[in-house]
Amino acid sequence: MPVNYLQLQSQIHILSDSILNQREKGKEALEKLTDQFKAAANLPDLAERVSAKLRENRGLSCALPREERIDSHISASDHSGEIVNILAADGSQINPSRHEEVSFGLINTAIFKMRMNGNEAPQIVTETKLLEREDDSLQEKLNNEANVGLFRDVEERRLLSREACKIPQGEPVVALTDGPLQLYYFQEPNTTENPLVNEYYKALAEMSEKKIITAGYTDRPRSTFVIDMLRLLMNSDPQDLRVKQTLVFDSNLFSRILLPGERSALFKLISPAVEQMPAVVQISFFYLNVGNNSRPMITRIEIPEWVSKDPAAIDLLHYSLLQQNGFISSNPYPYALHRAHECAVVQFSEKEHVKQLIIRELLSRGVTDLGKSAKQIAKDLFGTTYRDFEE
Amino acid sequence: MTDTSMFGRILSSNIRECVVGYRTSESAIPPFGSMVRIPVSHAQQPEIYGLVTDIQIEEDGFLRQLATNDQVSEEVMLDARANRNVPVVLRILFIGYLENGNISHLLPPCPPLTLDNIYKCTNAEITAFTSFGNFGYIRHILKVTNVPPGELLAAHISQAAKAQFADNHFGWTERAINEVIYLMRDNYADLLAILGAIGDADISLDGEEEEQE
Repeated sequence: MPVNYLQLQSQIHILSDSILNQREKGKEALEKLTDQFKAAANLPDLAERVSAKLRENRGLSCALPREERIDSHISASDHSGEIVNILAADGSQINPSRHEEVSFGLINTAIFKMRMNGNEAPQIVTETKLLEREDDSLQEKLNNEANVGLFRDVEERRLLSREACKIPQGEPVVALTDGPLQLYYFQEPNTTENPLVNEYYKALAEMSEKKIITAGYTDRPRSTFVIDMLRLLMNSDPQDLRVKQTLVFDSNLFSRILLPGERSALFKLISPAVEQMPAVVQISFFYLNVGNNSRPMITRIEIPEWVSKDPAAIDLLHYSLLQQNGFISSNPYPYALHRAHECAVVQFSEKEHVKQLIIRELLSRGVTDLGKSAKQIAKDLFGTTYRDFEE
Repeated sequence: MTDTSMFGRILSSNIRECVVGYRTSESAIPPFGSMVRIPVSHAQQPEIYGLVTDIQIEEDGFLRQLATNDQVSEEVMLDARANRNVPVVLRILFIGYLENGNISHLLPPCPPLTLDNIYKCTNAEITAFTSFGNFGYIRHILKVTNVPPGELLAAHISQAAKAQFADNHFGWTERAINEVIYLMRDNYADLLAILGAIGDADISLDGEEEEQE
C-alpha cells in the first residue's frame, strides 16, 4: 500500500480543523471588507486616492477604479438574434523528458469558432508543432516546463489572432482564452527582450486594429486586486501591504454584491508586470456572476485597453459570456472554451504515438542508441507489475 | 434505398456480427433492419452482407450536461452532431456474402477487419441477395438475440419488399413470409409474435397482388 492511511487519519482531522478555522476568520474578515468596500465606494475621487497611494507604495499590485462606481452591479443588454462570432483558443503540450527514448516538446493548439445565430456548425482549427531543437538556447529553455508553457500561451494567442482577423469586418468577434490575459508562465522582468513576448504583443495588437473583443476568462479566481486596493486605502503600513492575505478573495466580496448575470464595475489592473506592457494591451477586468440565486459563481474577466474603452463591446462580451455559460448551465463555463480544450488536449496515447513516429524516423536514419533511462524503465516495470497484481 | 455512400467503419467484429462507428457528419443513420455491405478490400476475401440490428447513441458527461438545459442552441446542436465525436455505434448481423460473383447465405468465412468501410446497399443489391436461393439467410435473423427477431424481420421484409417491388419481382413478400412460417412451425408462440410484427410493418402485399392481376 503506497499511502500510509493510518498516519493520514489524524492529519486529516487536523487539516479539517485548520480549514474550518480559516473559514471562520474569513467570514469575519469578509464582513469588515464589505463595510470598507461600501465606504470606499462613496469616497470622492476614489481613483485619484488609489493612484496617490500607489505612487507612495511602488511595486504593489491592485485594482484601480475606472469610470464606473466600484459598487456597481450591471446587467447585460439583450443581444439575442444578433450575429456574433465567438472564438476560443486553448492549447496543450508535451514537455520534453530526458528519461524517454527521445526528448521532444510538442504544442497542440485549437481554435473553436462558432457564429451565433448563423445556423452553421462551428469550425475547429488545430495546429500541432514540434518544438525545434536547432537553436541551443531554445534547447536549454525547453528543459524548463514553464518555457514550454510560455510557447503554448503565445501560440494560442497567435492562432487566435490569425483566425479572428480572418472574419470579415462588420461582424462582431469575441475572442476568448482561458485564464488571465497576462502570460502566466512569463516571469522575466524585461519584457522587450523576449521574442516570444513580442510575438504575443503583436498578436494582441493585430486584434486591437480589428477591434476584436478579446478577453481572458478565469474560473474560480483567487485574485485579491480589489481587496488589495481597500487595504491600500485603509492601511498605511507599507510592510503589511506587501504580505499577501489569503483569507478572503475578491470573489467572496463580489458574491455578496452581484446578482446572477450581473457584472461588477470595470477596474484597471495595476502590477509591475502590466506596467511594462504596451499601453494598448494593458489590462482591465471585471467580475461576473455566472451562478444562480442559491449558488453565486464569480468569474474574473480580463480585457485589454481597447476593449475597456468601448462600453458597447463590454456589453456584448458580457451578454456573450452569459449565453456561452448558459449552454452548460448546470456547470457554467463558456461552451466555446470547453470545446477548444477538448480539441486541443493531447492524450497520453497520442503522445506515445508521436514518440514512436520520431523513433521510427530516427531508426530509419541509422540511430540505434535509443533507450529510456534506467529510472524510467524501473518506473514502467513497477507500473506494469502493479497493474498485473490489481487485475 | 439507393444511397451507396460509405457511412462508417468497423470497430470490432466476429464471424456472426460486427460493431460499426458511424460518421454523424456523412449521411442519415441507416435505419434499423436495413441491409448493408462490407466490401472487404483484401484479395481473396468475400463481400459481406448484413442487417442493422441495433443503433446505439452513446453519451459522455458533457452531452449529459447539455441535455439538462431547457434550450440548446442550434449552433451547439450542430456542433454536437457534426464536430464532436458523438459515439453512434451500429451493430450489424451478418446474413451472407458474395464471393467471385456468387451469393451465399452462409456466414462469411472470415470477419471483416477493423476500420474496413461499410456501405448501405442499393435496391439492386438487396434484390439480388434476397432473391437468391430459398431464403436461407432468414435463419440468421430468427436467431438474433440482441433485439426481438420479429421486429428485425419486419423491418427487413419491409425494405426488401419495396426493393423487389421496384424491380418488378412480385410475390417475393408472400414467399418470404411462407418461409418464416415453415421455419417457425414448431414454435407457435414465437411465430405468432413474428407474424404480429410483420403485420404491423408497411409491406405492400396488396400492391403486389394488384400488379400481378
